[in-house]
Amino acid sequence: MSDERETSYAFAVARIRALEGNLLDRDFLEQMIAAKDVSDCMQMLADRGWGGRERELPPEELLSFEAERTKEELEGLLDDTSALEIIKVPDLYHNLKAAVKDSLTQGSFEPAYLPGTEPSGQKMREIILSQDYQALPGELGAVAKEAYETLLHTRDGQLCDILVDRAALQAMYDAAMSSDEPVIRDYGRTLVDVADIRIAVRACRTGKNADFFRQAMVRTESIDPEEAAKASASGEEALFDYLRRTRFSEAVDALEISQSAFECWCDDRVIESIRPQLYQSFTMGPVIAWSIAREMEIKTVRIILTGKANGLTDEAIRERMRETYV
Amino acid sequence: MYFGDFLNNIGVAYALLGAALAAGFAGAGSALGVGIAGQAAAGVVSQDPSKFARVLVLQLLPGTQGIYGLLVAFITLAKIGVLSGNIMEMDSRAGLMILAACLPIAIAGFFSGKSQGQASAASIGIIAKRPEEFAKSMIFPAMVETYAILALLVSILGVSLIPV
Repeated sequence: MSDERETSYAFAVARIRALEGNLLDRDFLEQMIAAKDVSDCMQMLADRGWGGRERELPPEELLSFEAERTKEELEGLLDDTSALEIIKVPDLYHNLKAAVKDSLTQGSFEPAYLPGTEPSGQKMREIILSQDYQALPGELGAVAKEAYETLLHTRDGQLCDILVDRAALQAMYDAAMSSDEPVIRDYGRTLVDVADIRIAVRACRTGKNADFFRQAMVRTESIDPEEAAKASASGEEALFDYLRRTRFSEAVDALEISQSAFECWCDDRVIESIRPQLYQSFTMGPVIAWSIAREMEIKTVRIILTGKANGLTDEAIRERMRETYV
Repeated sequence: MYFGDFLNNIGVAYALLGAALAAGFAGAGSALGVGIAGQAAAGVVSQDPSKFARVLVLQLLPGTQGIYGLLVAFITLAKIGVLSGNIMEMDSRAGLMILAACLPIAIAGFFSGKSQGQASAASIGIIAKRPEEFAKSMIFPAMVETYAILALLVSILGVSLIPV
């Protein structure tokens, strides 16, 4: 590592260390779970500085505000945000999916475009309508064309979703493997492996054929869609046996408890993949890890608020709680 | 001056070079170290200005190597009479010995200054998260100081005891 690179993140990492102090820890989340209702939770979050001066935001807007705040902080800290492309992939492909459906339904579908992608959802819709797929960057054009034509000819929205979701996973995996940052590599690989396991288990339980595994899953260093499909054909136990032979044997333990325990395990793996960054001082890793931790934190707060709004018991909410970064 | 006389007095030039290396390299090490720690300090203060005093102490720790280099340079300049205006005659053997005596603080000052800056930057991360651990956070960069002090002792002893 060059001397310049060794120290060029000293400012950013020190600021992130200060910001890590504002991350919600397990004790605070426990207090939120024990709160009487959503408004109590919202008050607790406001006291921790959530929402800034906009203290009267409704829950979903508060979460969007905090997500936007994280994005602004990252853009302020890093001159070159290309390393963060992997984090933007889900939003970009979500917008692509919405744009494909929007361009075919001609307004009868109300698209929910996410802000902050390049190109924007509306721009992608225009490109798809004009069939000028080359105007979309990278692999996006080919994916848009395939998804659009699939939806046009089959009217199968689920198949279209599968195509785009797989392309998103592949884009994340490729971005991870080509990254120089260990945290990005670990994060991307973990995210895609976990997504593969989730798809394989759902496909097995709903009796999907081998073609589905090939269409929906991404081949990684740890998970082979062909192997998963073969195992799944012999039943759930065979699929579990296959997963036990990979480095994700703990996923099976979680799956044997419950689906929500498995979902927790998926997110906990992501947190585990970034936790070593707590001890780095001069790389971009802690900055990226903090942004991922913020994303997970917002997800956890959403779970608690949704649980409170729907009258879930404290125990049911606690079961869905994710590991915290700090 | 004949060439022979020049060679007989070139020792002063060697000694001056030693003083320059001691002040220059140790100072450069400190500048790098204070700069690295300063970046980290600014990062913390940008989020939490109340920690300014604590991070400032940590930022200043790598500055000592520059002072050590300056001290050795002063002793050297005094020894060869530059400070009093009566530059002494010195053969190359004595001059090279003084140059060699200046090298420990020049080399150790440069590397320890930079390394102490990195240790300070990491310790500033401790202050950012756990300000109550200020004392402990001081110890890690202070350990690096040990080696700068050892080099300073060797340089001072060498420059002072070399007969001219």
